[in-house]
Amino acid sequence: MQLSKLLPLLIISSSMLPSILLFFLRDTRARLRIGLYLGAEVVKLILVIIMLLGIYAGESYELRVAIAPGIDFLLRANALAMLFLGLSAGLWLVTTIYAIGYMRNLPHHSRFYGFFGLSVTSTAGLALAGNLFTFYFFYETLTLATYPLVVHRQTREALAAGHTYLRYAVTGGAVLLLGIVWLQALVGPVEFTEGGALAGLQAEYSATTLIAIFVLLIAGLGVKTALFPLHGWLPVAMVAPAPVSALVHAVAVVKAGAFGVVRVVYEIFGTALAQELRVLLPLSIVAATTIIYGSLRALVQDDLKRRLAYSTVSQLSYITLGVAIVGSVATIGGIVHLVHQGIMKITLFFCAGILADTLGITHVSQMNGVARRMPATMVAFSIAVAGMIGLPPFAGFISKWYLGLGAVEAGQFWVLVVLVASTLLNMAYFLPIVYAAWFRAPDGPFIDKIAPGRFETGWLLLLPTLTTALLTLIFGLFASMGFSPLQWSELIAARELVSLPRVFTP
Amino acid sequence: MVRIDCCTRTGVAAASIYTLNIVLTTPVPWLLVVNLPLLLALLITQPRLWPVMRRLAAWAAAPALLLAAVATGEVVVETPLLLGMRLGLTGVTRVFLLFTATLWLLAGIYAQAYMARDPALNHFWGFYLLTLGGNLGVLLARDLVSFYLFFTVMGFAAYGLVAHNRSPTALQAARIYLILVIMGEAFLLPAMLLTAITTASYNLELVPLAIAQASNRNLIIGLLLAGFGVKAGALLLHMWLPLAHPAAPTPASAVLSGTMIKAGLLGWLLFLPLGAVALPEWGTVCMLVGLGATFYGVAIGLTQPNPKTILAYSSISQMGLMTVALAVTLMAPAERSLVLMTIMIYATHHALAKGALFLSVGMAAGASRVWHVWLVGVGTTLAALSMTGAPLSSGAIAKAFLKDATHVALPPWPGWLALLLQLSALATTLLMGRFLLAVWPQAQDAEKRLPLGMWLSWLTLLALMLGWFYVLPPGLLDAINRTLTFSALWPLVVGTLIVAAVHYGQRRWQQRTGNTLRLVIPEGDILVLVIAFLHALRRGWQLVVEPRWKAGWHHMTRRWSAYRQNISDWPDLAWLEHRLRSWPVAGTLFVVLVLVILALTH
Repeated sequence: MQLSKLLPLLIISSSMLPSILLFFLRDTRARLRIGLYLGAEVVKLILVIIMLLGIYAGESYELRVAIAPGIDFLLRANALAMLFLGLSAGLWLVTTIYAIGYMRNLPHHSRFYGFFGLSVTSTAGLALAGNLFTFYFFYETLTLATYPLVVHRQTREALAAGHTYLRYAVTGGAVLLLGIVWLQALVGPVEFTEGGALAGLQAEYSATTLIAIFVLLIAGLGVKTALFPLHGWLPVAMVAPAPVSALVHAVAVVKAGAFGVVRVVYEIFGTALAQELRVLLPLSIVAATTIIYGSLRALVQDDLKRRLAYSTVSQLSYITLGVAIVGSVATIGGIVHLVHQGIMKITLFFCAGILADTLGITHVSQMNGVARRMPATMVAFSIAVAGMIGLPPFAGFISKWYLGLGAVEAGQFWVLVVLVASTLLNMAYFLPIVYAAWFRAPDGPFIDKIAPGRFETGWLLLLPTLTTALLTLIFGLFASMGFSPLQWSELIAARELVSLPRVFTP
Repeated sequence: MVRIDCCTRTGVAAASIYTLNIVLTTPVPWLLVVNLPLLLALLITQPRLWPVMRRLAAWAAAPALLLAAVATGEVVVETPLLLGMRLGLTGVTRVFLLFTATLWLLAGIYAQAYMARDPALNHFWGFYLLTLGGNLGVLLARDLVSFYLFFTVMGFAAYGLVAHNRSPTALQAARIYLILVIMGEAFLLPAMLLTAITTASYNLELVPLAIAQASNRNLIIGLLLAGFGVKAGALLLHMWLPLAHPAAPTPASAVLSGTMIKAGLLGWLLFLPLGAVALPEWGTVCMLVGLGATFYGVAIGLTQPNPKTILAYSSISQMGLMTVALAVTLMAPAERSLVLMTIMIYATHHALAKGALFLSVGMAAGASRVWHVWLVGVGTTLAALSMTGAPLSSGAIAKAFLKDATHVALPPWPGWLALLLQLSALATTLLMGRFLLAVWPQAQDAEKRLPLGMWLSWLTLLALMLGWFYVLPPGLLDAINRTLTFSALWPLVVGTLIVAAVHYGQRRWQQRTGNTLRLVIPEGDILVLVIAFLHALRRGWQLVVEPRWKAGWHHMTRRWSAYRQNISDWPDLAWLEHRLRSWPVAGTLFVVLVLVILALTH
């Protein structure tokens, strides 16, 4: 078997096989489990880097297995896939290190790590999926693999949240399937193609049918990417343990939806056709509504994780917004936010987990003066907050800057108003937390839930948090260097939008 | 090529200049100058390094001063940071860098002595260094993105300086400051985005011309004026100044008022299409705003008891005069170089004089012996005289240039401006008189102290303020001969007489009735009205709109109203959220929304 066929398979199995093995391991075999798991992650990361370099050099990786006539199981890598795959593999490693530190007080380790690995496997599959069928397959396995993680604590609240999550996800999946089947019945097998699989075919089909299919696909994906009003599950699902929330909010579930939207717009319909069908403006309006609505809801939450969850609802729609604005600059802004939102939000959830685990702090109102007790954690938190607001030189600024430039380039000035409003709202719900932590005096002595050690909390919790915070800075400050997410997104935009000349090149 | 000859003295000098020029074409010295304060700010978080850092922090602006001194000519270096950071100096920014670095350096040395016993010294130095890094970056940035970066860093870091002593007043001042910074951001972000697309480049040198030719240039200019106007303390956006400057520790007030508000002015100079196109409407707007600030600042400042507040209002007034100069070049683009020269001279004068005045407040509070009192009193008076534009002072030269510049404004302004400028000199004299009465060192208290560092930096700053203009080329220095005219002299004499008369009258009144006769307007003046208005708005919402809105919802959804639990938050989205959580509602709503939007956009 050639390397080009083998590599996608190896990447999928590098996380799938160890995860399945874990189910057969007793909970007490901690050392073996961690060794196996971390080993798999390092192997996967190396494989992903090999593939990344290959794609950059222009090689292609494809694995095709015919399942039924007209239905292929297709794994294929391109620049867009690598962005998501790289994010998923990288964040898997940091989240696992965090989870090792966090999970010591929670039961069912083998089950947890098993499903954790399967979720990541599903995201790798989603990244590499080469057609809608394969995409759908991994989309559903992702739902099934994340459910046990959401209900991990098995409390009444967790089970109820899991129930809500399943109802949303399964219905969303069904709607997505309906769209896929309709499309397949109409035009036959559809593979993701740079520039749009349907490009040039529109003359043969009625616009109404294509619009209906578009709406079905986006609505199905919109559940996972939490478009208003399909976002209800996300704030509820934050009862999950911190590493799960971090992964769900940064890369696993919500990104699967956002990534699907990117695939559907650029590689199924193509911007030219989508523009002709006039579905992009409505999509951008939905995205803008979600951005504002999520922020307004975040404003009134006292529960820290809930506030972060609503912030996710808002921030995710930056990606959809970037996709929905025609033009290469906005595209870059939307796609790069896939990565930037991931590292910033995972940092915030890591911090929330540290606060809850070390000091039992779960609400914003308990955070007065907490920076005196946990300066490093709050530095990471503040960096991520600055990134979320979009302050230079952090990663979020790059996303917002390109989105704004794209909006101006496309002549859509109303998007500027949305971006400014979102910036102000982000400041309004994030800065009071930072203020309380750094400038207010503590209400009383903090109660340590774990014995104080050399650092302010366990180093396994602190190290991943500081790493992702540092990445937030690096991805912004060194945005124009080498393999930065921004440079990679420019590569993607250049490959996806061949027909669209780049207007703005500073 | 310069021939390197090591045997003669001129050879050595030539060789070192040659080496220097090579070094300056690499990014290293530029990045070092900007990042040194930021690096020190990072290191000061480490308790082990505190003793060293506290000594070093004061000197963080020294490399910048050195750079400004040696970097002649226009230099730009490119670095791969952010979106292609370019750093360098032009004629204008070099002048700004000279006075900015000088003032920061002297304020730093002053602060080392002044703040020595402060319980939160490391916080102070941390924010001081961050603000300094931002301020230097603003001056050195030659591309739009890094300019925005450093402007933002400076704006947010100064919050820590304003809030430093954590008293309720300081926190409230800092809060108002932050709100205005955020407001400024809301104007600046779209302004920057529009400018970038219009210019199709981040290169700052190309910006003014591109804006001049843009079809939506009025939008861009409006956003730029408002966005930078917050920092420059333009009228109606000035509310933070009189609160923040007194709240910050004295050396921080000096740099806030002396250099940081000039960053807003520099923003205008770098972005606005000065000299490229005549914009009479915007010129008139700036003229009115500038003149308004000039007199309004004095009028409110006269009612203030706190000397630092008086100085803050004086800054608003003086920035108003610089806005007038800006207005002139918006009206008469051909005179750009004259106006730029005027603004550079005025800004340098104001930075040094206002810095000296702020430091004087700390000196006056610490003076304990008789000769201290007299020395501080005389120095403070000299600084105040310079501010009023007394003959032979730097203020007089600055005003002479301003007067020349106003000649080229569009009619009917020149005629009016000649009179208004003299009136403004009178107004400034009144304000400075009021300041001197408020600040004059009096009590002798053994507890007080004036460390050597404070003396050194204060005296150096005074000396610079008195003599800096002798570095001007002879052609420009001639202006000093014109400062001994009647029009420069009468406002000072009349103003002094009025101050003396009012002071005497007040004392007589107090002796006779036992009451003090004084009008006090709260710091931040119109801020009080704004806050009252916002309160009224909120009250109106709660009393009128909210009940009806909620009643309307109740009416429409009577069957479900029993489920409502959470009515505490506004707007009442929690309840909406609860309803959305049932799938049929959310799904149907989504489909309906999409259909409606599709229908609307097709």
